[in-house]
Amino acid sequence: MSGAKRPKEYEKLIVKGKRCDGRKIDELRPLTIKVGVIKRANGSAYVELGKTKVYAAVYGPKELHPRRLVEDDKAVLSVKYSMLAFSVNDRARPGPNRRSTEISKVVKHALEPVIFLEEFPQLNIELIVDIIQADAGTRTAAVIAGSVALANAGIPMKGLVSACAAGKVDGEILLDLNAPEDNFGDSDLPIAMTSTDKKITLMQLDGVMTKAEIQKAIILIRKGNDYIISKQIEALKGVYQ
Amino acid sequence: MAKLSVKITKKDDKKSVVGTASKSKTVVSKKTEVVEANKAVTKNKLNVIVTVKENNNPVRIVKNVQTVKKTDTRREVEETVIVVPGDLLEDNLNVLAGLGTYRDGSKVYSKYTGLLKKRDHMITVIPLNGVYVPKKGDFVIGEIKSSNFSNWWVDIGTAFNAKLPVMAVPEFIERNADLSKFYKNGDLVFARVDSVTSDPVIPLFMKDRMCRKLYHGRVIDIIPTKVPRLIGREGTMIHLIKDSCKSVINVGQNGRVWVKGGDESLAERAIKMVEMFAYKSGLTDMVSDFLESELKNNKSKVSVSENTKS
Repeated sequence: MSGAKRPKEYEKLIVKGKRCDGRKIDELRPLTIKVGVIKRANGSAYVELGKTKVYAAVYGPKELHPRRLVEDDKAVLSVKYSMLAFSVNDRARPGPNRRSTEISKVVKHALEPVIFLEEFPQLNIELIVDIIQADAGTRTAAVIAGSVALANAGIPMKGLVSACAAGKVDGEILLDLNAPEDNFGDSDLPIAMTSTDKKITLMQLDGVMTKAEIQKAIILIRKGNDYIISKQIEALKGVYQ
Repeated sequence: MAKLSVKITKKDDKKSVVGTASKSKTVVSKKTEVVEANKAVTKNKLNVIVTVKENNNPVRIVKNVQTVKKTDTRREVEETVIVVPGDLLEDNLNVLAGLGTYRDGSKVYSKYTGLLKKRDHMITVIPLNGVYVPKKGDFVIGEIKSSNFSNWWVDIGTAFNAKLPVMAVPEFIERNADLSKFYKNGDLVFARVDSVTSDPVIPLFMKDRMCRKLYHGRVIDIIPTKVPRLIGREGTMIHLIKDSCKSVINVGQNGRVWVKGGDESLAERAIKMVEMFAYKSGLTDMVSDFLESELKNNKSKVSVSENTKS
């Protein structure tokens, strides 16, 4: 990661405590959440986190196909994450690949602990996440959008899930990395947390961080997640005003 | 026992009226026992008729309570509170966590995005969205999809198909009879859920007074969790729509509403309105105002068209 050669404009990513897009080191990108954007879905959400734009749609609980995947005592949450062809500068090849399969699985495991899956035995809850525009932090945006879409679909849940990344760039711990920081930084640490008991449901680390750095990052992420959860709740309630 | 409070709800229509009657001292003695209480609205006067037993003789007291104003007929509405999953509703071991909530230690949280209801010691959350999950004894509206030699297969809008066995319909069906003579594909039926098991097939039955085949009319799909709101407390909302539109309306618990006769399109608009504003308080009054104004408009339109004809 740190080995990538930086173009001239990104040679210094932090200048006088300000980042390349003008944020402070512990500041999130502007976040907007819209709910109920897809009419034919049971629940849906649209999340804009800076330049990252994500649609999430929930269908079901419905019958699960193929039938061999059916669980007799609980529902199966299936997540399909995909980056659309136009979501990055050079065309992304459509269809599942190694990266999207991984993120689908990771998002599924981030959301599963809060859903009362045992209320719908033998059924399937389908979550489809499409990335319209990718600018780092797509998996955290997918978790934010996914949990709001599930709550909008009337799926019984213990609470919401919010997600946020932190990373090390030029020796500083930054909250919510954007694309240049992600590409030319040293490490990236996305973390998802539940809204009720603040337990971690997703944690990945790309790059190298010391224990102290991770602890510092988690403190930043907790703060960021508190703000994201308030935005999620506001968006969910905003539909019924 | 000088005063007697009577709370009455008008049985046969839309607006419930609550009145208080005081018994006059001359009539009421200490041995008085209330037998019956009724109220009637005549010429905008609300009369409370109370039958009391005095010395074992029934005595009827008619008391004019008040002039009925429009505002008086409005039911008391609770302010609706919208909650989302994970909202802390109560931190108290003495409250009961009802439907739509879960308990973690002494804390009670919401499970759904929905409306919060607190009654006595019970906290419930009514979800604002969701799919239909069949329960035993539910009335549902289904569409016949296909049939084999002993069953009809019915689509009731659930994840799994429902079956209507030949034995479960009121008609007598001979051996090897052509089943499409009784219910053919595309027919609508108003049926009941027989049982729900771990089996993915949901058996229905129609040997019930209410169950029948539905002819003509139109079907409106609404979100199943909003069906209780459409029916209203003691059926107030659905009776209001039925009476105003003069339509026959059957509501299935699976979120399908069948409307026939009268002003179908007005009924459909009213039903859609209930669905859209299910989270609002004072919805019955809103719908009643809407229907009233629409009916007025329709009347004026009719009279205009009659004039132009003549």
